[in-house]
Amino acid sequence: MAEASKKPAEKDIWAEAPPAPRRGARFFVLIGVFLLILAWSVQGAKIRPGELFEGIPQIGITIARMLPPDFSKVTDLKNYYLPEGFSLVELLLPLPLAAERAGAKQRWRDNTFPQTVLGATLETVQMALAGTLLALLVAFPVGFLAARNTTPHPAVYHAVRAVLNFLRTIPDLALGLLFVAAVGLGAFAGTLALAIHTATVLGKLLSESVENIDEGVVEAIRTTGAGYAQILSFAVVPQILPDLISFTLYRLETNIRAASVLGLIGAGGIGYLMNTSFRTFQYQEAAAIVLVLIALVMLVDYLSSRLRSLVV
Amino acid sequence: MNDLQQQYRLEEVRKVFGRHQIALDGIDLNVQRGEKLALIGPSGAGKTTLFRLLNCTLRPTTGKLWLDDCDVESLHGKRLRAMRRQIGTIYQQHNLVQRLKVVHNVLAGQLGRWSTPRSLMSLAKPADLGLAHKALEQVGIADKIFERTDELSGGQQQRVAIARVLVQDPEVILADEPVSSVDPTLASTIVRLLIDISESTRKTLIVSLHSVDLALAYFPRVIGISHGSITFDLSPDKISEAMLEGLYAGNDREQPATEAVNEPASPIAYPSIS
Repeated sequence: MAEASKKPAEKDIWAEAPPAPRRGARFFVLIGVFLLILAWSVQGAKIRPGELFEGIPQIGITIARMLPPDFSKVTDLKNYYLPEGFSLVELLLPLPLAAERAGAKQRWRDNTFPQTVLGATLETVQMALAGTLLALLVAFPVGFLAARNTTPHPAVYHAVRAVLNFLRTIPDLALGLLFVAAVGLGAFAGTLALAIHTATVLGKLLSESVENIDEGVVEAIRTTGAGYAQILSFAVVPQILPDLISFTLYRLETNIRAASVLGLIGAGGIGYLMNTSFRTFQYQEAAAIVLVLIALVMLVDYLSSRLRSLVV
Repeated sequence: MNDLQQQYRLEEVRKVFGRHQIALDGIDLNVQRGEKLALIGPSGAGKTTLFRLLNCTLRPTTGKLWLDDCDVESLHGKRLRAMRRQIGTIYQQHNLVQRLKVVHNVLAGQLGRWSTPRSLMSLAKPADLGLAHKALEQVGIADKIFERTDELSGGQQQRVAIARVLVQDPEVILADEPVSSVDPTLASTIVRLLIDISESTRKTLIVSLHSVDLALAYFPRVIGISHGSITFDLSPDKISEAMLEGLYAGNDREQPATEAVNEPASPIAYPSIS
């Protein structure tokens, strides 16, 4: 009995096992092409280790010039060009003032303060926050339109995807240049650039998150007789909420960095000051600004990771 | 037979997915209002597809399906939603919104009656706490009302899903494998609960079960389905061992037919007393 059941088992397993799939010649051709492209890129990028090695002392010299960082531009009150006859409290807090003095305060806050290190830093944060918020307002509905399972019509899906994909290819610096030409120098241009770029990225990420939800829940809510908006709010949004929050916070961190770069083209933020310091060979001053920026980015990263662990 | 009493009428219903995957192959079925029936059959026989046709999630590929003497083919938009509201479904995987509190999942049964603004406000502040509490009390987990759904056990989640259907208060209750994820004692408790609800409110009840014993013990009408067609449709006393064997034949890798109630599944569920 035992032998009878054993024998066919020995024979059958090997006879019926499907042959292992073979890697065809195509696989090796693909690897070869990939290696060729890699070699071509290394050559094209002018990667020359020798030059880097020789240049190391130069990096050291530049860093030495930056030391010690000169924080006078950050801490010295005279660099903030305070208008006369105001106390700091009056300037920074929204207190009621006489019309004439209020005008002077407004001029200082609008024109002078954003060109100081502290003011530009705050402006960078404001740009990132406002840009991300605007982007979220756009991306939230767009995410549903661009997801296969929630789009009202396949045509809408394809159209929205096409627009998102096209806009996403435009770098935010290019968008910044466009908006500087349209609305002039300053934070508004930068904020618009950030908002548009972020909206396309968030819209795409959210639509993918929507496509990955558990469809069973949608089906269950639909069978209660719920309509489109009700299905979205009861079955879809609760499922994508963790993604929504963590994507948005991540984009906020990215936008702090992006906002500081946008200053280079005059679209507001701390980048303008940093660039000016480097161009005028004020390396110690530039170092101070870089340190302020690093502290800012670290602070935002820390706060957003705390926030994320709180809500997700 | 009185036509007014007819809940479902299916004629030659076929459902084909893609081009060749035949899920249902010519189903003829009449279900009277207030009837209680169980579907049994091996996995992949088409029971879930049949449920999705019955609750108007899918439409037949060919054939006719009448619900309340209304051809579902003709239903769209508002009327389709109104019809869906009359059918409550309990799913094998519960299909609850895991991140929401129990109360919101239960009140989701009201969505067919609520306006959109009202439903949105209910997510902030539950709109009908009393109703949710009553439903949860009926399934015996009233104390879990403000807990997050993903913190509940499988059996508790299944009760939440039943409470959702209670709140929906439909004419028909469909339950697709409602007890496959709970232990045998709880399984018969839940089946009895469904039967009680059906009897006390004269709701039509259609349940698919892995456990043949549960089906034979509690339901006056048992339908066997395999390979997308009905193999028998009888009262339990007329179903023979041979019929059951035939139903599950060729599916020996699937779950065995005699699964739950009388056989101890685990020593924890059935401590040996004697």
